[in-house]
Amino acid sequence: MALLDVKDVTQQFGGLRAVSSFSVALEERELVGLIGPNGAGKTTIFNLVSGFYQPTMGTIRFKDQPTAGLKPNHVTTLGVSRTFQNIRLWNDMTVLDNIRVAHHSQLSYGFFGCSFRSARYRDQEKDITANAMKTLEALDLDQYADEFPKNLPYGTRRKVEIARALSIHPRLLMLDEPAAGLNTADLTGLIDLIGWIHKEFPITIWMIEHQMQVVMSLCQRIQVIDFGATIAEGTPTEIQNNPAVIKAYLGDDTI
Amino acid sequence: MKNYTKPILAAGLWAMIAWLFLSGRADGYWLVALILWGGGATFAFYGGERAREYGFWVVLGTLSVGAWWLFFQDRRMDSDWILCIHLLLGAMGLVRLFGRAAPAWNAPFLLAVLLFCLVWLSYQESINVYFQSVLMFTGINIIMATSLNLVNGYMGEFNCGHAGPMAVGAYVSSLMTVALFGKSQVFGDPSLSPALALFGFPFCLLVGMAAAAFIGFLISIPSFKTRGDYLAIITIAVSYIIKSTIENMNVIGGARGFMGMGQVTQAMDKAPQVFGLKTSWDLPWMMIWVFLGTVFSVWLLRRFVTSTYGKGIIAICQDEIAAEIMSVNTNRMKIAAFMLSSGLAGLAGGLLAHAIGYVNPSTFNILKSTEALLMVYLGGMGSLSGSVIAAVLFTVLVDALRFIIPILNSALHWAHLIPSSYEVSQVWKWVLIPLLLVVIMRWRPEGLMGNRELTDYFPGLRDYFRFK
Ligand SMILES: Nc1ncnc2c1ncn2[C@@H]1O[C@H](COP(=O)(O)OP(=O)(O)OP(=O)(O)O)[C@@H](O)[C@H]1O
Ligand SMILES: [Mg+2]
Repeated sequence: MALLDVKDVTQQFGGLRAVSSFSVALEERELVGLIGPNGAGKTTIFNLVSGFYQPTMGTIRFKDQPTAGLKPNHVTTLGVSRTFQNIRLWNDMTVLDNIRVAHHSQLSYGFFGCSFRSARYRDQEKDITANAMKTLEALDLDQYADEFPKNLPYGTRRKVEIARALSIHPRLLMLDEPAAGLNTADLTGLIDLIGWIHKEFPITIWMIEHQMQVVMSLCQRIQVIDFGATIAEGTPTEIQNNPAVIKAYLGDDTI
Repeated sequence: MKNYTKPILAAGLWAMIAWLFLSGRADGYWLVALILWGGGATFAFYGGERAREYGFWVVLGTLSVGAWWLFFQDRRMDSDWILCIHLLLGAMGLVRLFGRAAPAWNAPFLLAVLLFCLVWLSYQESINVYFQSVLMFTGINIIMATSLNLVNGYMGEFNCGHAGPMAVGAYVSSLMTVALFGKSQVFGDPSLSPALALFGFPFCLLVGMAAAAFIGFLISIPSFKTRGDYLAIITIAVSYIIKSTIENMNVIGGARGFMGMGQVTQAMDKAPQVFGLKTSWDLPWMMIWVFLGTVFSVWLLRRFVTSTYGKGIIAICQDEIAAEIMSVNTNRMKIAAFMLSSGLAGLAGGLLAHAIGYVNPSTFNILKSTEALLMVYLGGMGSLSGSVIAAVLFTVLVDALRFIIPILNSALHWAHLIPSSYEVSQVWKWVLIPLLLVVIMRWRPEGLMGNRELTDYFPGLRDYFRFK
């Protein structure tokens, strides 16, 4: 049984079919790439899996449970976590708070718990803080715990966003163009980081990426989409030499 | 960036001392005391290393010596003030010396001493009824501003109708107290013994809060999908609906308003009868309730926004999509924020109605909502201590304008800047105050505190209270 099973999913935005009959099955502990030209529908697929959009057609199952109708925060509690193409950290909250708030859907206390500082409140806040610090230490970010993300360099912000996604112990980590905007030094660091995360945590990683260097060195298999539909699937070397992929990226030169 | 806080505070202090003397409010003896106090404060600001060590005790010492000096100069300060000043100074000294042993108890201890002093001074008539009412309005404004800050500052929505839930809280709690403990044309004789008023009052306030929170719940539903300007219009619409509904309910007085709460607050003094005593305590009960209500509101809001649960609304403010996708049930948090904010507005309304003894729908017009907005923006979005300071400044300013406008009037006449037939009247208050908002938005758009707390600017204050 696949961890994530997406079957024939279609997403229609008015007249635009952003995703059409897209299917994928991700197994436990896989590292899979999703590539495609600009506007191909990659981010939309992540948004569908996150529960941010409800698919027009098709089904999404996570851990064999259909996610249709679930709110995004509910999907997160099931074990799906992600980063965003253009970093979406909460910029006026410290790095530590960013990671703590990511645990929001796991809170078992509510308004009265926090008003009266119930025992459950105190235990849970302590656990969350400890877990957040542990994640920051693991990613070597603990020295930034009290900084505001807006004051951090771009590469560090990317890393903090990955830490935020990782802190809630997801089963599936979706990275939306983690290398976008990084310089070459940061890029090698990122490749090492993703590789290390994949090795260290019991986790499946699904990654959208334009930088071929990142995709080719990390992914076990790659799926290529164009105009919302899969055009190729295979290992990095197979993809590199696939004529359909080259055509999608370089354009149809028969005209 | 240079930090201008200290020079501004010091300049303000000395300007106030100069003004008190020049306007004839302080005679030579007072001037001696004021200079002593100003000197102590200035030393604390600029004494450098030595101030860090002794500044606190120097300030305490100068305050005490100045107070005694005034006491012995023809009793310019009466013995009740001497007592209260020393109680407060002593309490601060105790906290400074031993506070670290139980940090959680410092703020409650200081607040209890402050409450005792306020009650004592009112009881002894050392502060008059007028000053007491200014204190009560300050407290009510603090509740209004801090609760609105939750939605407008922390959550980043724009609620322009804070007076709506306030009116609901005011009417519901007033109708209840009058029905239970007062004689009125609407409800006839009291249904419970007026001696129980003191104990029933907080319960009635709670019911008013619950009703107001329900209005907050109704406002939160459109907020799921609507943001910004559109939601602002919805909040204004709701507050108008509430106001006109009350205006058209003739049973409870309609546009004329509803009264009878005065007898309820007086009846609170009959509480000893419950224990079979015939005496009366003669305490300023409404001031006590307003004080407790204010402390309760700030306490509750502070606990909310410092918890991971409450920080969910800050996440909504800073990036709603990230909040929604990463973890936060945004709809539920919006309900929570609007209900808490409106509920506390209802508390402010209930206290206001009982502090002045009657309610009138026009009290809760758009001007009231604007006042609340003004305090929030003056203090700083997302800063509780900012809202508290702004509410104090605002209340004092509105009251001071009563004296400042005539002075301004004569100054303008003296300088022949306005025709002699024209008098600058109190109406100009509502030109000057909005003008202040324009000035703030122009020079310090983030408000006095920005989104930081007082303790971030003065870390030493953490010994006395913690806002974070
Ligand atoms: N909420 C929306 N409403 C309407 N159209 C949308 C919406 N979101 C995405 N689209 C459209 O769907 C198509 C796919 O968008 P998507 O963001 O998924 O592309 P992408 O593959 O992530 O591209 P990029 O590489 O530029 O990030 C685009 O044409 C986009 O304009
Ligand atoms: Mg994209």
